[in-house]
Amino acid sequence: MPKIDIRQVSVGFGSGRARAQALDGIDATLQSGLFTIISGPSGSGETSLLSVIGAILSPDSGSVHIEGVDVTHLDSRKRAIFRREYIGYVFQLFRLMPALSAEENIRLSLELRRKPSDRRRAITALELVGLADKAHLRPRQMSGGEQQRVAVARAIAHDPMVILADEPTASLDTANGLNVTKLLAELAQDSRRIVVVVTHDPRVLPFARRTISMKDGRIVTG
Amino acid sequence: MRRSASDGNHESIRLNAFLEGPFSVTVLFGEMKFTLAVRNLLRSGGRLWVSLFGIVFATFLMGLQGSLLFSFTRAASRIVDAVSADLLVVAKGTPTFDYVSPIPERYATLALGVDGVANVGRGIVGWVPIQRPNGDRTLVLLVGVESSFRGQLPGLFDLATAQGRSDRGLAVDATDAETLQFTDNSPAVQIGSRRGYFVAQVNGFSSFIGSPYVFTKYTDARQYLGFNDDQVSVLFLQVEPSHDPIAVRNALRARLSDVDVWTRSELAQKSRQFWLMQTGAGAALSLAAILGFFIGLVVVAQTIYSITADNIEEFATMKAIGASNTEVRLVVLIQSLICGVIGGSVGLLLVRPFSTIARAAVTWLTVPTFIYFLVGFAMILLCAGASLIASRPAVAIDPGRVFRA
Repeated sequence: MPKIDIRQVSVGFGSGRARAQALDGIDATLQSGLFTIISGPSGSGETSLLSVIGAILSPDSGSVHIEGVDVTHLDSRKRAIFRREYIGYVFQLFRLMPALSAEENIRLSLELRRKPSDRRRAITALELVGLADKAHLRPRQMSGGEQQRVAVARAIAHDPMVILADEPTASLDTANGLNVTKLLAELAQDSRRIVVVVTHDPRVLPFARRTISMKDGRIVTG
Repeated sequence: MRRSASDGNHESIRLNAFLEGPFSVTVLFGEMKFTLAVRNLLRSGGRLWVSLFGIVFATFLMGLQGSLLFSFTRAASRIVDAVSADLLVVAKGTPTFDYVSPIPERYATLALGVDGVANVGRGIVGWVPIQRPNGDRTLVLLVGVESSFRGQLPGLFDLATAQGRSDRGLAVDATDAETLQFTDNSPAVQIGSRRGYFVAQVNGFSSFIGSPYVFTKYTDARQYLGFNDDQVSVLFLQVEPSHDPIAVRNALRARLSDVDVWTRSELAQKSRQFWLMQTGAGAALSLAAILGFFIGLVVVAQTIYSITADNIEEFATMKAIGASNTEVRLVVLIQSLICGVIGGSVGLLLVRPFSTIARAAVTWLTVPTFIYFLVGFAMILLCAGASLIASRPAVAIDPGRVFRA
C-alpha cells in the first residue's frame, strides 16, 4: 500500500526579522485509500505542506519519502520527473490552458508526462468525471464546476499514485463544490492512490476519512 | 465576438490535419505543445502582427542588402571574370583592374619565355572623357582586349561590322546608354581627342562606380588613350593545359619582378576586396544586412517575450505538471519559428519585385538564389536566438506559484 512519510519537515520564508516559519517540524504519514483533508486557519502552512509533498517546494530540513524516494533531496530536474510520474494536481483556480479544449488540456498533460496522449485516453479520463460530451469545449465555454472536473480528469489521466488538491471547491458554488468533493472522495477509495486535499471549505469535511488540522506551521490534530 | 463550440471544433480539425503525418511538426515538437504554442500566438493579436512586421522588414532588409553586396562584389570583378586568361600581368601594386597603369609591352615576350605559357594577349584599359552630343563630358573606363582573349567581353569586330564600320566602334552597356546619350541617331562622340562611334548596346556590363565601361577594339583603345606602341595596360596569359597555373604564376613572378602576376581569380578577388574594403561600400552594405538581423532579433525577442509574459501562469502550470525547461523553451521556440517562417517568407517574397524596381537606379543589382537560403538560415538563427531570450521568464518561473490564488 503506497504511503507518504513526512519527517521533521520545516520550511521558512524570508530572512532575519522578516522570516516566517511556514512549516515547523511536521511529522505525518499519509496513507492510500483514505480521503485526507488538511485544514486550518489561513496561513497555517497547509499549502506549503502540499507543495513539499508535491515535490514543488524543497524544505529547509526534514524528509518526505514517497515510494522509497526522498523527494526533498532531488534536484530540480529530478523533482520535475518525479512530479510528472507520481503526482496529479488539482488547483483552486483550475489552471487549464484557455487556448485548449478540455480534451486537449488532458492530452497536453499526458504529453508532458511522456504518456500516450491519444484522444481516446483523454476521453476516458473525461468519462470518469462525466464530461466526455464536453471534450471539445474550451475552459471559457464551461462552468467553474465543469472546469474543475476537467482539472480532476487531467490530474488522474496518467493514473498517478498521489493526487494533491489545493482548495478545489473554493471557486465553486455549492452544487459544483459538492460534485467535485464527491469525485475526489471516490478517487480516494482506490487503495493504490493517496488523495490529499487542502481546504477551508466546511462542506468538504464530512467526506474526509482523515482530517489533519494545522496551526502556525504545526499539526494540531490528526 | 464570442466563438461557438463548433468554431473551436473546426479549428481543431484543420489544425489536426496539418499536424498529422510521420514527418509533421508534431513529431518534432509534440502535438499538444505545438497546438498550445500556435493557439497562444494567435490569441496574442496585435503583438503577433508587430512581430510579423518586424520579421518581414528584417528579412527584406537582409535579403536586399545581401543581394546588393553580392551584386556589388560580382560587378567589381566583372571584367576580370569575363576575359579568357589564366593569368594576368599588371603594374606593380595595382589595387584593382579598374586602376591599371601602363606596363612595357616587352613583358609579353618575356612571359612567353616562361615554361607553361601558351599564349599572351594584350589589353589597353584606361580612363578617358567622352564628350556627349550636348557638350557634357563623362569620364568612362575604356576597355580594349585582343579579340582572342576577350572571352565574354563584347566582340567589337562583329558589332562594328554589323553597323558597317571597320574601326572606331564603341559599345556600352544598355543601362549606361542614356547617360552617354547614345541613340541610333547620334552615334558619333568625341572620346579623348578622337572621334568614336557607338555601334552597340550590350548587357551585363553595367557600371557600379558611376562611370560607364566603354568597350572598343584593342587597336582603337590604344589610339583613344594615346598609348605608345611599347605600352600596354595588362597582359593576358593562357597556360598550357599540362601545366599548373599556380606554378606558372610563381615562375613568372620570379622572372618578372617589377610587375604583379595574378591568376584570374586572384585579381578578381583583389578587385572585389578593393571596392568592398577600401571604399567602405562593403562595410556599409554588410552593416545594413547585419542591422536587419538585429532589428529582427530585437523585435521578435521583445514580442515573443511579452507573449510569454502574458502566458506566464500557463508555463508555471506546465512546470508544476512536470514539464522540463527544454519543453518550456520548445513552446516559445515554436512561436518564434512560426513568426519567422511566415514573416520571413513574406519578406523574402518582397525582395525580387523590389529589386526589379530598384534596378532602374541600381542597374547591376541581381538577387542570387542562394540569398534566399542564406537569409532563411539567418531567420532560423534569429528565431532561435529570440526564443532563448524570450523563454527566460518562463524557464525561471517558480512552479510553486500554481498554489497561489
